[in-house]
Amino acid sequence: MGATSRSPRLRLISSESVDEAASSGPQAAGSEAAASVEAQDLAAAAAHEDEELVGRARRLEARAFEALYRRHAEFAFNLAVRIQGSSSDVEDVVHDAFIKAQERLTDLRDSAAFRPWLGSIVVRLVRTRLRRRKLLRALGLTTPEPVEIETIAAVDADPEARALLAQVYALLQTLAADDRIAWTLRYVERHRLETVAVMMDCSLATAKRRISRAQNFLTEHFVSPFSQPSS
Amino acid sequence: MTRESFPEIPQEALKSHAQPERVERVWRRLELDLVGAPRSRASLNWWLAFGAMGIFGLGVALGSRLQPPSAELAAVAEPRPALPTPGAGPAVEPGTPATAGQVAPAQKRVRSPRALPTGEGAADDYPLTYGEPSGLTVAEPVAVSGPPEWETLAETGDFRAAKAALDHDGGFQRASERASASQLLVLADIARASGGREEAAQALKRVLSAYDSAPEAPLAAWTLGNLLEQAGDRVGAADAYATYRRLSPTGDFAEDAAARQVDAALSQGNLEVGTHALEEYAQNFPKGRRLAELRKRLNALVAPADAAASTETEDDDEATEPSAEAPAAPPSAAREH
Repeated sequence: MGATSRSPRLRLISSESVDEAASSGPQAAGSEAAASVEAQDLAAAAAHEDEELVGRARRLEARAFEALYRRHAEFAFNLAVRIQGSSSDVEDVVHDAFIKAQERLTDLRDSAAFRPWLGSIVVRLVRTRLRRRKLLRALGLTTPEPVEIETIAAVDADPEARALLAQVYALLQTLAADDRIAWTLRYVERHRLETVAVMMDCSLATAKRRISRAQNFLTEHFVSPFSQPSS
Repeated sequence: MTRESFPEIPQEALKSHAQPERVERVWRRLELDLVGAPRSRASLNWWLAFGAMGIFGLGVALGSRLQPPSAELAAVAEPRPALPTPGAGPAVEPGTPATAGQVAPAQKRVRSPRALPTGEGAADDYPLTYGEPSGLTVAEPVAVSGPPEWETLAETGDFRAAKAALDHDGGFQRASERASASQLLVLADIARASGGREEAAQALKRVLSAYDSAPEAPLAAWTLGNLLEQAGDRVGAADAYATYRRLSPTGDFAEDAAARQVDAALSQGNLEVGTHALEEYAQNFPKGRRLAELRKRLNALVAPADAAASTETEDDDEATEPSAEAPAAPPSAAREH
């Protein structure tokens, strides 16, 4: 999910297409059937490899855990930054997440689902930080962190995309941590609803409610940065 | 603006935060903090070894200083007349308690054999055995035992070195005879890494026979199943997966084991066992990931069998009752036959 040389294009999407794209998962969104099958095969192969690595890591094979780390580090870093909206302490978050993952590896029931499980640990850590920050802000012990657009947007992202991200993240800052995280997981990270629920450790209904609440708020307050004034 | 026109977040506009140096930096921190990480484990072993040696050395040193030989004890019990040694204080009569600041020479010697009088005549007045090292009773050094080298090396992932160390220690057979369940799993890993599939299977089977209630047993069964499947022994693999399910019915690999049991039976063309295993799989894992695929395979195998069975039945019917209108036996009945 890194920056690419391709120029990003914003497109206006209907609610149906958002639901379809998001419910079919990031691999399938907007791709053709063959690419989708290939992506699913790759995901299945990755899950199988994860399963084996998790089994070995449970026996304290350091190499296996290192392989898991290297395989999922990018996911963990991006997830942490995108749901908290800044890169502060992101290395600590990822470090703590992998430490906890190793400590609780025996609790993981489906070894193939290592990634969403790790995601849930990252989410929990970030949520704790967000809540702590909010409390400190309420007590006047810290000031609100400004949105770091350079942290969120790729260097080669076009101005339209940068303006969109800046506005979305500024709006997200004002939301409750849970709503903000749920929306980010769904529409920025493009996870399926079920995965969002797993990562947030809540029911599917709660996940939907949080996403919907955030979506309504964003829809009400979002102003297209490049919209033409109506004549 | 409504939700219908809310812009999609362009994935390509999002920045990636996993720069290689950052990933590496966090891994270096993790290496120090993770349980069982090779570096920290190795350093822990070294510290343990040094600590044990230090404690042992300290014990020897203190023992040599503090523990008097039996002859000395006798000297304390029956103090000899004080000796007029050069630089010594006034003589103390036997049985007279030493006053503050005064130490009876005999007692002083006991506490510190190095303080033995070296003056003239000293050797004549003291028995030769007094203070001699032969009188010292030093405890036998306690053997510091740790895990075998091959195990330590295997846990760091260096299976080649582990194999060499294992061969040096007397080889696979010797090690496996006295290995614990977890050590047998390590031995199986070493054998697999060095291409010794049979030895690996042997070690895993030993876990199941000698330590079937150990927490390592389910993993051993699972690994054995994989190993035998790779070797083409589908019957053995199916048995191993069944063992895994018996040992760990709700374990992490239970679903996969159930699916592979079906897989193995179908691959052998054993429809009866395959059908039964599939029913069990569907019952235990109604949302099983491979359920649809395995059902499809079973149906594909059952259809020709049914056709053959119905043809056979028709032939039989024709032989017994030559009526062309006799209904063909249903597929399920044909399977029961």
